[in-house]
Amino acid sequence: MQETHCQRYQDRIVEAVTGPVPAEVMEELHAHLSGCPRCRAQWEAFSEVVARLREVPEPRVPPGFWEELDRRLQGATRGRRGGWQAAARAAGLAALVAFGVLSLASSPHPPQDTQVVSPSVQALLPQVAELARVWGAAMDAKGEPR
Amino acid sequence: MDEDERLVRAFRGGEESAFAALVIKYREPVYRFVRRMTGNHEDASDLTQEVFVRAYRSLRQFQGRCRFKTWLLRIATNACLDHRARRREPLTLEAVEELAAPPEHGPEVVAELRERWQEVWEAVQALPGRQRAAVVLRLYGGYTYGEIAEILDCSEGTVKASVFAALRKLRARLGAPVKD
Repeated sequence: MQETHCQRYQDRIVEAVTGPVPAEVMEELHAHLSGCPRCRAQWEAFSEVVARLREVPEPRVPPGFWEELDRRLQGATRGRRGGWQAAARAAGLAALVAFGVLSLASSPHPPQDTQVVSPSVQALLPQVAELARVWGAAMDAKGEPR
Repeated sequence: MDEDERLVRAFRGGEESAFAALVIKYREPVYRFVRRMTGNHEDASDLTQEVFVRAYRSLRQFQGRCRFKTWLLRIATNACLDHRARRREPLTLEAVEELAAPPEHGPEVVAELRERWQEVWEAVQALPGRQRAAVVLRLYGGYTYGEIAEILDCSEGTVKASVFAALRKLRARLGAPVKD
């Protein structure tokens, strides 16, 4: 009987030691743990393990890895619908468009009621500008990306 | 419609740059997950590339039944499990010195900390694939059990059972085993 009763709390213990749970779940769990030495021992053991796992720091990303990955993806998707190369060219174009938009926006007499860039492209501008920079660096470094 | 849905729709509509934006948004969480799954940068580097190439090729068939992020991490999980299954040579684990910058303590404390980290790093790698994925996604990725169930294509109950089994194994390896 006790076995079945405790099994109900196994999921709760796993949830609570690995992340936040609602207050009422925690209260119910604590009420059970206070009267059940076996589940309490399991809770303490799992809490220690989780604490040890969380001691290990986030792996650092080697310098230049993102640029290398972008170059490798350009190569791997080359020839598919224009692939990554076309995307990067589009990124460069979008960066130019972004420049134009910013220039217009800073103009003392911006045109009214004129949709220069679609909302979907506007949403992409920060990311594609970064890609354009990577693309430019790859071209500068090797003449042609891998 | 959220940002990812807009980008996926734009890509499917022919805007290649939308995929570039998705790569930039998700390359870091994918890489960090794969690095924890493989235990070394070299494999993580190749697999991160493989994940995005697989995604690029199959995004047109993406049905939108789950979120793009969980779909991408499912590809990443499968790539890691396939990679481990077809590996013939022994697993190469990087030393924790390559994992992170040295903590700001004296040399003795640093040595002790690194030894502890190394034990954990190796213990996680020794877990069965899906248990490892569940633990890495939950404890290092901060994903909810619902999201992990989507990624692993199983029920939340199965994910919790996997994490439970993994924690028992980790406890047995890293400290006193849990008594039944």
